[in-house]
Amino acid sequence: MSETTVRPHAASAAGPVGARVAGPAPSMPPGPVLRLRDVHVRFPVRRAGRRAHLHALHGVDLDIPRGRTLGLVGESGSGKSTLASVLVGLRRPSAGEVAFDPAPGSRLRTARQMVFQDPGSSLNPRLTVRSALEEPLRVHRIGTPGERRRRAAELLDLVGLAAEMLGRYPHELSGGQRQRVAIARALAVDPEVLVADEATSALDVSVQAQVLSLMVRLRDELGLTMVVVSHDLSVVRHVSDEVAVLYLGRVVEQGPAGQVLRAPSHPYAAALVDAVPVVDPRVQRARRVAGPPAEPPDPAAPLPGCAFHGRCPRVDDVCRTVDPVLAPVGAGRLAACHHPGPHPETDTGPQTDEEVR
Amino acid sequence: MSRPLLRIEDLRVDFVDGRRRVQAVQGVDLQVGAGEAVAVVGESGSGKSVTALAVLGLLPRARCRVRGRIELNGEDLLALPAREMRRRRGRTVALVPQDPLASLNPVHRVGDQLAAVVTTHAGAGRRAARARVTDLLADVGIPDPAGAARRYPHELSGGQRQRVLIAMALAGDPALIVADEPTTALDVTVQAQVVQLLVDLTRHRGTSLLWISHDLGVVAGVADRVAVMYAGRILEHGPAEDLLLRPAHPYTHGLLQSLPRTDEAGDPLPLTPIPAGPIATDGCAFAPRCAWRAPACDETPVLRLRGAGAVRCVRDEPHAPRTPVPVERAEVVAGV
Repeated sequence: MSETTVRPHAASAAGPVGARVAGPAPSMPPGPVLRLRDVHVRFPVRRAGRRAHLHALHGVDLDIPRGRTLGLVGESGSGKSTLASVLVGLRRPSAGEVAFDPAPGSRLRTARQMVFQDPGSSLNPRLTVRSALEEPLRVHRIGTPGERRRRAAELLDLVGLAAEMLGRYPHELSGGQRQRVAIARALAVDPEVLVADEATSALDVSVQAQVLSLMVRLRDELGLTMVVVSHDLSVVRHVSDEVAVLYLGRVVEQGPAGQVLRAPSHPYAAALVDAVPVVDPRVQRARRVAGPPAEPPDPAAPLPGCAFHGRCPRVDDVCRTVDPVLAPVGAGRLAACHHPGPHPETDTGPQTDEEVR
Repeated sequence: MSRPLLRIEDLRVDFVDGRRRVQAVQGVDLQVGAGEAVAVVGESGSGKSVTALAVLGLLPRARCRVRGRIELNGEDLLALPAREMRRRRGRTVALVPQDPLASLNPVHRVGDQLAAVVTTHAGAGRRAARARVTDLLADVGIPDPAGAARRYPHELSGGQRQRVLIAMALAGDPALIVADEPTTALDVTVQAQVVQLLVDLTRHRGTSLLWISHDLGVVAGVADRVAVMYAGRILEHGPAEDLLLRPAHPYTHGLLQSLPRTDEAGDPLPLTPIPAGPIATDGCAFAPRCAWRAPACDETPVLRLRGAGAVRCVRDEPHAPRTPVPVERAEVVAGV
């Protein structure tokens, strides 16, 4: 069975005087703030009238370094949102271990917070902004009513909204303003870890840029550890130090964001990077997508061997029988592939011939 | 281009709700040539979808007032009675909608829904219609078209459902296809394929394309020309390359700067979002958010020719001096 272990942390156990540990602040424990080992999540489903299991997460090992930002990318059904809810503690894994190592003095129940995609449905339509911001404090019995009122105003200022918004209801706000309120609400309880699940996906381009800038500023000011879940690689690239690429519930590639997204090793990561549209007509028109229709496979009926082998340009007999494990492919980089790249010659990237048009 | 296939002149759409009146489109002029692909980009509320619906004659006549001219093949669609417009829809102008799940009937087989479209347009018999359905599904790249025709919408993937809707739009062999954010709901790899399919098919058949989108990256791969809408007006239009690589209007410039980008080394560049602000009702609608605002912006600017396009801005060099867009590495990737 699953167990979320929490390492006990007495403030006095910080070591001898002057012993500075690695990490963003001297008082912080040295290890990753969250550590996942062989985490599985299965959902019962019915297929053709029979009971089956949908394996949403399949043996995920993941370390979330303290004070850093991890981007989670993948397509629908990859398990990235399930992983986000496991990280924030909203879902218990079916098997495996989630170890959370909070900073000394951190409030355990509130140290991990989440910002959802659609603030229109994650904010209670009948609560004013003030009540929405005070509610988490009230629930966790933090502060006096007066302190909570002051804190609400402070939070609103923190996310760049005017104090007059306190009396408004969600429907009176724009999408960007609502998402700012949702962020302020998540920050109300002083979390250490903020998980943003497609938090800017529903926003217009110009508003997305505002909210992304805000998230980056808050992360830096508050020293947050952040997990950013997005299908948009350019967003992930913009905010993340590290990325993990998910495919059918498995981490197939992981490493520094710049390296992974510039020169992906796993063929699936390469396919994702190649599919991102580029705002340059000369480049974009010349691109051709090769191969048969790439439909995301059914998570309830995975292939034997490597789960990606049905769509992979590098496939061979080993891939059809042996499930690859996540293994080092360079400094700080991991990939679960029998033929790790980059392989520009087999992975059909953008062609440059003009004949296409 | 000799005579455009579609010519929109001074299109104005007001939504009326009791005493409230919303001017969704405030004088749009737009042309689409035969075989040409034109994209209309803009953010929520810019009026881009309302413009598309007006071309299709799908705006609710009871609740809105539509003025201006929408000429298709020399015929003013706005002057047509509803019955006549219904005959044009699908045969002269067809829609590829945004959400395939909402656009297909969940209780009918995909093939039957497609056959209904085929018989309506071509008056074909059942057997002929069935053969045509299989052909159409094969044209849009669905493997095992005969088998797919027997499926219900929920048994297909999102990408396949969107392909079915493309097949439906092609069934009447229209001169113009209006695609309203047709790939927004899809994953990037599927999106790339569906975009390519639609571009290939329309190019091959010489079908004109009016593409409504907020995604500048997708637009870059699709459009010959681009028009940028804001607050019900076109602020800038021109050939895709000019507009996306050398934007003239401060709003277009701001949109492109809002996309998360990287420098030549692949490191993220700081975002320079357009500040939030109201839409001005007098003068230039964008002025309250514009970094190049000048006293002259209190006057409503007109669309002025610039190169092969036009810009609605009072300034001659609207946002100069400006940081050049790094085009060599082309790391300007699209936002959501």
